[in-house]
Amino acid sequence: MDDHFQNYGNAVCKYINHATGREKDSIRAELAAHMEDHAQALMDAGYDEDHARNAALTAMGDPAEVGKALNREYPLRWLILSRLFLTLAVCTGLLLLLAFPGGVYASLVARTAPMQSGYHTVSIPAEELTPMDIKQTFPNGDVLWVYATAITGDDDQGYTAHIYTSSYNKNPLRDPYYGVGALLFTTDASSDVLPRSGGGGGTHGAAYFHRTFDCIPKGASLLGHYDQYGTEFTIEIPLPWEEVATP
Amino acid sequence: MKHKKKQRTRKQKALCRGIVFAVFLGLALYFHLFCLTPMQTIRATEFRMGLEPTEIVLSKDNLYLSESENVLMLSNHRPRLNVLVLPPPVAVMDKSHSPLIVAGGYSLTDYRNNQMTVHLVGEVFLEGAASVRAYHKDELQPFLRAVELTAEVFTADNGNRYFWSVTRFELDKDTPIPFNLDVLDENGAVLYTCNMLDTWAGESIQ
Repeated sequence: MDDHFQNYGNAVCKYINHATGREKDSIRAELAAHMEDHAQALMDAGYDEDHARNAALTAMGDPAEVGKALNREYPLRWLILSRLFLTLAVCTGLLLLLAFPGGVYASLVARTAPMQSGYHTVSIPAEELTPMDIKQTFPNGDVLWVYATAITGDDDQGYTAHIYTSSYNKNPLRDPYYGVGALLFTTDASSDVLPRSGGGGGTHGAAYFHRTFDCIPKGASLLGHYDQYGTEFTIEIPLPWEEVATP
Repeated sequence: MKHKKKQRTRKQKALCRGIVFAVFLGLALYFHLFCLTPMQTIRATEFRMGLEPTEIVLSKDNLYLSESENVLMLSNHRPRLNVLVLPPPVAVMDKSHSPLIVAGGYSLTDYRNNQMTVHLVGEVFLEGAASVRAYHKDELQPFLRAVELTAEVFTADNGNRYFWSVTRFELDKDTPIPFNLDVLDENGAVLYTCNMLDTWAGESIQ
């Protein structure tokens, strides 16, 4: 860039109060490019180089006037707003990034392949479990999936029912709130609430539970009841009586 | 003329960044990542549990009692960011089965000042109820210090009858939570007895 053109650009930028460094560089480059084009046009018309450059410089006018006019194009308020919005967007974006990704994978596993999850309780070998596909949705979008069942025991000692469940929210960005613990269980043979035992685990995005119910009458099905806060439903879980498993 | 990439004006940049921020903020508000006001805390709990919207009926300290047709909910509000988990309710009391009373409680144990503050709160639908008494009863552990809380039933502006008492006492390491509740008439006779095991929450300050 010609030194005179650069000096002109610097003189103009002195009158621009609220431009950033990058904006001032852009202004200098734009002014210099304009003067270069003007000088080139004059040289093409037959003027010598020095005369052309001086003419181009003179044609730009007083740098103070040019600077003051350009200063009105760079109001402070838009700079402040721009930086404020950038800061707020970065902070909110970071918050969203921290809040969500962790549970998404777990939520997807819980709804597609729960037995592959490390949280599936291996109390009975997988090949002796009977796959099930009983799903119940709660008012907040949580889904309880009974994905496997088993029966152990015999006629002498009685039978124990095992159910394996996963809980996730339809929205994979959310953690489930409800699980199998929200249900009370009976059998279709009796309305007495069954005592429950078992365990579970989980992480962000998914929860897994294994429940066992002792002294189940032969041939019975389990009924899971939910009746809270104005929402009521019952799910029936048939048990695999034809395939009594060995724990 | 050299062709340069057209630079966005300052105004365009600010508006663009503003739109991005507005989108992020909308997502954060939808997922209840901010709880800066009591209503945001209450709405976050409703969102988490899939409950219908409730309206605030009473408040004391940082606790807010809100109510809908099926639910009476006690929430503890303090400004927070819910980055990993939404705030749990203090107590959600089920009104959907036309109960005679719904009751819950909140205990704040301050180990620094050796003090416990207990809130006993609820709504009464039983005719003739004048007060309630919560107490601890455990025949298996008679050495535990007996705790008894009482609260007068009053009629709020909305015409419903509630009770809310705040009791502070010195901390005793064996201080139990009073889960049993009697509803009393104006002569002190017991009209009804119930259990508050599922609707009590507590926090501690170490």
